[in-house]
Amino acid sequence: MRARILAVLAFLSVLVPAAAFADGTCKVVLIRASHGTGGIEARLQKIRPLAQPPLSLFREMRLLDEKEMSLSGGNASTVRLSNGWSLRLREAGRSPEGTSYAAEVHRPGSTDRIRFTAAPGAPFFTVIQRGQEAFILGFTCQ
Amino acid sequence: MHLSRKILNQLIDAELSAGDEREAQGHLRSCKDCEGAHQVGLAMQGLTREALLAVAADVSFEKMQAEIATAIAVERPLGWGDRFKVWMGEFFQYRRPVWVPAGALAAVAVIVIAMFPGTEAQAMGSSRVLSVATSADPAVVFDVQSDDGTTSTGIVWITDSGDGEAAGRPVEGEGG
Repeated sequence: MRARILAVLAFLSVLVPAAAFADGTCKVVLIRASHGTGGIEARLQKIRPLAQPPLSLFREMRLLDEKEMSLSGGNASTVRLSNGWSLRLREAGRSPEGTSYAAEVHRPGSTDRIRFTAAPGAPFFTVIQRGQEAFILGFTCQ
Repeated sequence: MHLSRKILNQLIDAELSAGDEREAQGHLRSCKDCEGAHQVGLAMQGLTREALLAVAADVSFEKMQAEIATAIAVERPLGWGDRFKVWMGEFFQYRRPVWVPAGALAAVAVIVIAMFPGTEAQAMGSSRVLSVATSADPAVVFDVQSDDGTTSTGIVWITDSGDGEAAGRPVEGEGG
């Protein structure tokens, strides 16, 4: 009986981490946004939330960078963005409403730590505004 | 000696008497920290006003009135304890009307604003902010609801005050 319990526990110890952290990918876009008059770049026009408040406050948007990050087993993935910032992302858990992620944005003099949950394919955004300009980080994870 | 948060808020909202305002402005000229906090407060006030005006321009007033009954705002100060509570799912237990005074907006580090429905529903499920921690910059968290209210998009809006870690508020480490 004891051996059977141990066997079950051993099985669960293998199963539980696999269920908690599955492999996934996140697509990250870096957008420079401003109140200029250049309009929204064509490739960005299909991203619906960019055209809705509050992001629609920006009249000009340019796609600066696009990265795909592979996340596996709760391990962090790091990318360097074309504006010099680095982004560290890892899966932080699962819940009925989706997967939760922990993101760290490292920029000169500051680090922003953000936890968010997202259903597969649901977009999530971080805006970092300085004066009339901003960088928008858009995440879509599967 | 710095200006209190209350005085800063009253200054931003132009609620100080003429004498008190002169005194506060005088202090701002000699205190970089307070001047920085004042500028951030003004930026937050402007950002919020712009966002609300943009929403008002896009949504009919009748619809806005209908939605305001269900719109929520959550105030949370930054800090490990609060972030932990947020992470533990208590984030939405303290709900307040969306139309909080501008002074209150400047008084908190993180505000969640439930935006009124967008023009089109999100096709792909929801995303939501669980917690935010910045070195020194204030953050506003938007929860943009779809038309049918079944999905939402999370947006974190950080206003870079330019102070960074020099402001003396380093980010606390995450507990796991």
